[in-house]
Amino acid sequence: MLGRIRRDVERNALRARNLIKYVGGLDRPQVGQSPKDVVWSRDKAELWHYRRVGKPVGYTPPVLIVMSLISRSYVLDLSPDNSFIGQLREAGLDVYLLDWGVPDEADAANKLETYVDEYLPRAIQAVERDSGCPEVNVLGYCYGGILALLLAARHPELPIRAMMTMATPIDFDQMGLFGHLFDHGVKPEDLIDASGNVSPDTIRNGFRVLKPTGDIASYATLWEHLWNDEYMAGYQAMGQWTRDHVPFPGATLLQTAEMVRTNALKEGTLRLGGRPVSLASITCPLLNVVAEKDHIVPIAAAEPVPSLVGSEQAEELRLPAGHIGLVVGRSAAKVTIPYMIDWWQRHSDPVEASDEAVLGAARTDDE
Amino acid sequence: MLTGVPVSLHQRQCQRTQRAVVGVASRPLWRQAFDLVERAAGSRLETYVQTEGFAELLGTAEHLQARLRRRGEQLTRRAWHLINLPTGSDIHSVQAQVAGLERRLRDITSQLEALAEGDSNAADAHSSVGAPAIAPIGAAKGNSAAGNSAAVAGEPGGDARPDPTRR
Repeated sequence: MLGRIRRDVERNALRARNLIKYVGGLDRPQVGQSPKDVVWSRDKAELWHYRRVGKPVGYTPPVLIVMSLISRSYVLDLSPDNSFIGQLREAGLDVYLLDWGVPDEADAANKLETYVDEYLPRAIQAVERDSGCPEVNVLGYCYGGILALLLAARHPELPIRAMMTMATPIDFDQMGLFGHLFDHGVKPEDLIDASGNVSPDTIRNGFRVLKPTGDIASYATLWEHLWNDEYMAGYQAMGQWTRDHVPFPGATLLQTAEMVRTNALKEGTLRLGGRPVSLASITCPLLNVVAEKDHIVPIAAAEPVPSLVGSEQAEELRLPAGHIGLVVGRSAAKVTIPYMIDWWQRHSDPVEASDEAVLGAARTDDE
Repeated sequence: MLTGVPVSLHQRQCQRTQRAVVGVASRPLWRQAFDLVERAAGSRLETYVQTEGFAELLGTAEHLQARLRRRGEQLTRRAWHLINLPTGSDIHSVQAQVAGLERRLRDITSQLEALAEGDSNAADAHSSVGAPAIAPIGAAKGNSAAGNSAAVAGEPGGDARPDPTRR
């Protein structure tokens, strides 16, 4: 009993200290700290190569991560002990990430074609050039998965060895609120602000509406664990990311709204640049990772990917996680990410010492 | 679905459920009470926000907000212009013009790159006549031509490197 009182007193003292730090904005965790180099850039888009710190590349081809257009890429590299990218690197994979930057007025006219026909093929070229490897593996997360699928479908000539889509919406009829938002009253034009883009506030409110009690539950959890420094560091990093969206280009929103309204990806009626897009033309091995507890992209909306592509090896990996839990947190590190790494390793070639020398020679400014 | 995965994941889930039961018991009373209320209210609200009725309500609210914003802009613009001061809308319009120029610059850059790549490809084609073929890394590793890159293999004179500007 005495011990319990003492523990409660200690915890309350720590709570007070951490509350002051939290409210005062002190001790903010540093995010996206893994060492990396910008190996290519165009307009706002940057291609980052994560450095090999002390560990050689064990597998080839390199993995190119295509981020979503609505969120910051540092969610994949929150902290050194909570880093999806760090774990891929530890497993010997050579990791590149295409970060879209923060769109402004100049990007308001960007359409899906801008990303799929201009930025992404050039980024793949840059990965090939930088890594010295003639093939690339592609990983698309959330909306980035849509971009990756459209890329592979429209450009079958690109040297994509294998593809992984994570929490990627494809059947918009199963998307709940986001699926029938544009059918019932919301005009996409109303969501676009004076800059020609959808503001980060609008995007954030859209996600908050899906879990109306999410904020208050999150504060309750914060109060419960406020004494715990380790929890606080994780909470602050994650909290920072959930409040940190980027503007979504207006022209892409108009296309996306039409794609959602007509369920064009599932029905195969999508046209880009005047040409029809057929996911059936994707022939590379594909793994579709779906999250059972995903409240943003419900599992039914993400599941059909393997049935729509033309790949002989199209598999599904169903994981007991949420949308973000696929890549962030202790459970992700122990359960979900190892399965993904295993799949990448099975679809890559181990690098021999001689190959490693050749790969290294292609990169003169690394390390 | 990947073979073997569901079984191991099920085992892990069972272990986690056991841990969760222990975790719930050790939670403070206030948290247990909060969770009860939050779960009951939260699930009802989450179901409601997925309905078409809520989507319609949201649509009306967004539309109204957009109209009010436009009306407010018109009024304040008139007021500020009366005393010859620039407004937020004026700044946005200048920003839009600058953005338009930036986009034109991007287009011109792309066209120049396409021209430059066309020139260098033509030069490469001349210089590579009679040059020895160099096998790419991993070419001997069986599945290097797997996947989408296989589509290039059958093309006569197909260039394995993507060249989006040429399309």
